[in-house]
Amino acid sequence: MKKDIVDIVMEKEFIELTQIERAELNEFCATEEEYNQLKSVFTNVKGMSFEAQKPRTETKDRLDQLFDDTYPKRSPVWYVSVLSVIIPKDKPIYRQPLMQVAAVALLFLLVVPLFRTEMTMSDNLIANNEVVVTENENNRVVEAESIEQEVSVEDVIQEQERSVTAGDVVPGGLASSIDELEPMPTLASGMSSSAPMSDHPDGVFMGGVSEGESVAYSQPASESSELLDLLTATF
Amino acid sequence: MRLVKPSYKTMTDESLMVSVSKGDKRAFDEVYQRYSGPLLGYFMRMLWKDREKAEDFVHDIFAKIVRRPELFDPTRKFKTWVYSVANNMCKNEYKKQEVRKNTSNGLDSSYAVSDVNANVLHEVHDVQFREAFEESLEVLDQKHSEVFRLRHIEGLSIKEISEVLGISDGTVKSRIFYATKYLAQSLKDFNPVMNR
Repeated sequence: MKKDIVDIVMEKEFIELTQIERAELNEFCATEEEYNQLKSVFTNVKGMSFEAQKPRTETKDRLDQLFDDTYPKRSPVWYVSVLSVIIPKDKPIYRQPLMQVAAVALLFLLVVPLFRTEMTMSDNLIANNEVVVTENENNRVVEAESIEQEVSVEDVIQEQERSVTAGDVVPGGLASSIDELEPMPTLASGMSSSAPMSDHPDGVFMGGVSEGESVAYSQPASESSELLDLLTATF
Repeated sequence: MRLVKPSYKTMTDESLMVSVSKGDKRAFDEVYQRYSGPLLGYFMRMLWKDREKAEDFVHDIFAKIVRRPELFDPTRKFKTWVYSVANNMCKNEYKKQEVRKNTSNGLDSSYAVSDVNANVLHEVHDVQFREAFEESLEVLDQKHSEVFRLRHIEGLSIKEISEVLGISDGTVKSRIFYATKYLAQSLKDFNPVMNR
């Protein structure tokens, strides 16, 4: 605020006044004594405390009533009271409960995905562990498969062994000849010391236990002296 | 809807009055908060320290603001407008009464002077000076005393006083210095205090 002549009188001594100020004051106080008298009154009045009294509350109540009568409020609606609580008009928007709740909700929505991301990451870690487990399982599976394969190989071998016949092992010519051989008679029935001599070079005899059946059997070398000599001959 | 509600504390008087004219109760409360005390003091000083009358005048001036806020021109300063209204109310009251009420003289009888108070002498001088000052203002003619009050007690500038009273700046200055010279003459007995 621009200082007026009264402010100048209160602030400056007489000798500090400029020519313009002296010319303006010359009309009211020509001498330094008069100037100091004015200055004393001004400064003392300024130093006086005029306590600010407050009107009675009744005065304000009457004025409030008058204001309400002059500016009647709108008819109350049920949601007005709710709105007045959650969106009070006298508060700035950032202090309104509705906005605060919305801000918290927004913050929650922004923060939760971060937690979810962390959970996903931990899930990934778990998944990695599972991968390890899977690998182990794979290994197990591989092992199991290898075991199964071994088992199957053994089965195959066994089956193959089972399926091995004389024809498979013995050359075809021999097999057919073997097949053509008559079965060797059982020792119990036909085997005796007086068993007929075999014409087969290996001493295999074909004999029947019963009619229609033939069993191939061999004669012990001990029972054939020629064969025994042949076998025991030293070179 | 504005993003941030205006703070009534920081709003200018003129903006508050615009809000009051739209029925904003809180704006009215803020105006009342700012001016009820100073106006009460002003009426008290202008109306012979009659508290009841001052209260009524405060009510009346704010009732005018409530009923007819359009009387205030927002292009003007509210402070000068409200004091001009208050001043006119006082003038009307003077016309009604025609006789000004005398104030009590001398020290307040209830004022207890304590020996243990080191500043008691100064306090007594201050109280005496104050009483003498107010008495001198009462004796001073109204057109000079009102200018002096508005300048030194209500804190209005010369320019604002000229707007309130509808007179020129030069007239205001002249009245102020006339009143000041008168007070200096009538309070010359308090020179020790005045020269502190």
